[in-house]
Amino acid sequence: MSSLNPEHLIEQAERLIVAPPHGPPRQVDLRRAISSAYYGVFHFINAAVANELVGAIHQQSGRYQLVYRSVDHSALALVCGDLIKPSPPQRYLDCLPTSGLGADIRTFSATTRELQQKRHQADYDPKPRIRTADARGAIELGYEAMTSFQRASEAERKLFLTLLVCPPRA
Amino acid sequence: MVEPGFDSEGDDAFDVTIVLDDARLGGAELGRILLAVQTALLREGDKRFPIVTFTTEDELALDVEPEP
Repeated sequence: MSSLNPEHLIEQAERLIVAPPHGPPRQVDLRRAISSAYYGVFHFINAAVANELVGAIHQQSGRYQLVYRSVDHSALALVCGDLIKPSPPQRYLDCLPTSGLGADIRTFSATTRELQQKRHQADYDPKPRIRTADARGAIELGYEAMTSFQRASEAERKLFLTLLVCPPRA
Repeated sequence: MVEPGFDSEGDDAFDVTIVLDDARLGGAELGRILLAVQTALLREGDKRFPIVTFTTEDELALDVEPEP
């Protein structure tokens, strides 16, 4: 087990949205909960990439760390956004199955993109009032992103990770 | 409720508010809803991203000033 368990970030989010004895949870706690829900998914996919390319048994190595940290948010947003399109961009066509991707990888992509947007708003936009139900929804989406990725076939998981770290050239 | 908004890159987006009833929706159902909404917009050629906010009738009824 890595020193950072992605599910613990989402469990942390669950603790943050518990209402105090009086009144609703603080805005900062609800915002941190949404952020933690996204970062749980982000670390989950970073670990999946490093486990695939380097191997989980090497997670204390410098090479594992390099690969783990190679994924950035914009690359994740790009591949997730492209894979939910009804007709993925031409550059993907040699890589994708002719029957298209299954619902699980597409659900992972949709929920991850949504969490990215919600995380950005929670972390940087002071205006909206965050409600508990919204933070709870983000937590559910975090769990669902991980679950749907794990539900996908091994071939589709490997394909997703490959496209993430080796995006096809236009 | 749907209103125009902006995504994290400053591009046009939709702010979509989904009002849940008392029953708590699970992640699988929320995931299916998101995938359906995102793909339906893309199928219509609308590239605006739907940023979804969840709330409940109770929260809307109790809308008060936020805790700092």
